[in-house]
Amino acid sequence: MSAIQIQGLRKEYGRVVAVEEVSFSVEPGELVALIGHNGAGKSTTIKVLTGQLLPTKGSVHIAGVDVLKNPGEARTKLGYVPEDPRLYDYLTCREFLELVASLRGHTGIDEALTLAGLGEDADRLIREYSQGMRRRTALAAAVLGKPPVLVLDEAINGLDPPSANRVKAGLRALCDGGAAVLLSTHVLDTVERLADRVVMLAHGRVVADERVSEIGEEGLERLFLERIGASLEQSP
Amino acid sequence: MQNPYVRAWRQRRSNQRRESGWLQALQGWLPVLALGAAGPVIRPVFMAWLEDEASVPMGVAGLSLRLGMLLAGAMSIGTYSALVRGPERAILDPFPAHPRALIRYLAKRTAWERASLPVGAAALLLPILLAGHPLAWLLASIVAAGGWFVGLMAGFTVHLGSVWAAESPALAGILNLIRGQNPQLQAALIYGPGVALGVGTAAVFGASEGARLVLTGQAWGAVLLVIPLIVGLVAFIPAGGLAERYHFRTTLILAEIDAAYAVEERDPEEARRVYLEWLVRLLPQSLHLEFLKELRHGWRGLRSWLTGAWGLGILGLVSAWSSEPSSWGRSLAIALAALVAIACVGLRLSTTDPLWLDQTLPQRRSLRLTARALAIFAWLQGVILPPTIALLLRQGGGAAASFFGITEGAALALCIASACFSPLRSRGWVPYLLSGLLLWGGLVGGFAV
Repeated sequence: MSAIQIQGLRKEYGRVVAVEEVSFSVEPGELVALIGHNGAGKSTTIKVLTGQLLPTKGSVHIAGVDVLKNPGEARTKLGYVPEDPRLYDYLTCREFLELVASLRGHTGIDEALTLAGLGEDADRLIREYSQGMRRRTALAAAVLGKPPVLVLDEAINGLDPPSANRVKAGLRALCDGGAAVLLSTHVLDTVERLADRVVMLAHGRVVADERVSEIGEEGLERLFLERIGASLEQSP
Repeated sequence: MQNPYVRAWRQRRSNQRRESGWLQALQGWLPVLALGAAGPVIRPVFMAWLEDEASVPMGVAGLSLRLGMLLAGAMSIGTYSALVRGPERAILDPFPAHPRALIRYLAKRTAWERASLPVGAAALLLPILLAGHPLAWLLASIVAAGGWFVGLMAGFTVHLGSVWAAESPALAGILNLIRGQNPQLQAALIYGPGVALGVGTAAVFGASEGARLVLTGQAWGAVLLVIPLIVGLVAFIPAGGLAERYHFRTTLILAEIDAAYAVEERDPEEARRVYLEWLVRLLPQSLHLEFLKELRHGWRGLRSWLTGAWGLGILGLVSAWSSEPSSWGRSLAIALAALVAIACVGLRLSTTDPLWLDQTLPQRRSLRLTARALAIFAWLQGVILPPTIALLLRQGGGAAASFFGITEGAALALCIASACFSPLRSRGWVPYLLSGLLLWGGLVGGFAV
């Protein structure tokens, strides 16, 4: 059973088709990067996957659970970091994680804080945090209780290099422990260093689904330009 | 086990108090003091029946019914904000939920945050107590508090039921008929607060009749006073089950509604068009850019306030639609209160002003404040015009002209105050509200009494 299974996904906004016939899966222990140009359909795909948006057609499963039919159960199997995470300003990071731990029925706050590199700042109010620290707080909340699936929407972008490195190492460790990670990003360097596989979207369609190890050095940028660049040139 | 949402809320309140101090927390109770002090102004306009002993039971029933309805309406909108469109949905949505615990928490939080409403209503009713009718005052306060309670408790069930209604094939035809320019899914949510108000009105009507019966010596009427309590408790029972089914579904429905609006605004013609944009042509060229920006900022960020001005205008029209001379003063008091409420959009706009733009671009503060004041003035016309027309038709040109002159003057003063205090952002609320209350009290005391 795949950890993430997206099948024949189509999403229309009025007459605009945001994604069309998008299908891919992520296996347990795999870290897959979802890349594409602006407006390619990455956010729409992730929003449908995380139960924030209704698909026009197609199905989405997380750890075997239909996200639309059982949204509550799907969330127990999912850790999600939105691009612009919303948090309670007047809670400390530790208090926020205590709330999330109660909702998930798990502990492991210190472990999550360590992965996010927030241990020393855990008792400060979130309203005092920088944007990067807020993103790391959301990440700590997402990994709390070690859900089998992690979805990160541009979550590593904007982190300072030490934090980004710590987070990348943490994500790799979670994958090694059997978690499946889907990471949406613009940063090809992150994809090359971290991902096992890359799914490329252009104009709402999957234009490449390749193992990073098979693309080769400097191959990712070339592939990106070939597939996405060509698609952009063909677009009206 | 303690409700995790309630525990986190208590922590938030405690942290906020530690940071901002008690003064900030007490600010929400300032209107209660103002309402208590407004007695001498309110009594001749809304409680003229106190002069005639025999009219007190009927007067108490009528006033407490209206006050109870107002509170039920306020609470149904409050529950909508907490449950449907509140900021907490985005915070909590990525995580598993305990929907029944969440609903109990939202009910507690909404009750706490709006606890000043029934106390304010009791303060507003103080002239009854001071006129030597303690039982009448107590009963009227209980009826008003009943409206508050039933609006709170019924609101959750009705709004969650609206999500079911939004997708119900059986109701699709009706919703399509009544949706206006809105997406069909939005129609059910729009009318949700109205349904909660309807439930609240029915319950409060029973209680107000109970108050009248008690005051006319029929003690059994006291039984009717508990109607809002019972209706509220019964109405809340299905909320937990509905939350289990529709809590996450609400997120999806809201996303569909927002996407439908976004698609509509992708139409280049639609994107350019905002309410009252034609007014730009009447202004000097130097104000065009800032005025258009304010109109767009307001229409896209605070649309419900701007259309709400017309809603309050219709309320004024209903109040003014009478040949009785007293209706002039009553509608003036209502219109002035509505002007104070709507003119605060200037302060609300300032909270989303991009500060970095001010710091980066050359300052055009005077132009911006002028444009903001003018935009607020234009939006306020929705409050003024409907009752003016009603007075013109029912009481003649003289009554309409004096009403129009006073309200336009008040609108001008309020839009200047709102625009001038808006750069203070959240610190601007206290001076604005104090100026608004002074203006309201002064004009109602001077003209309506």
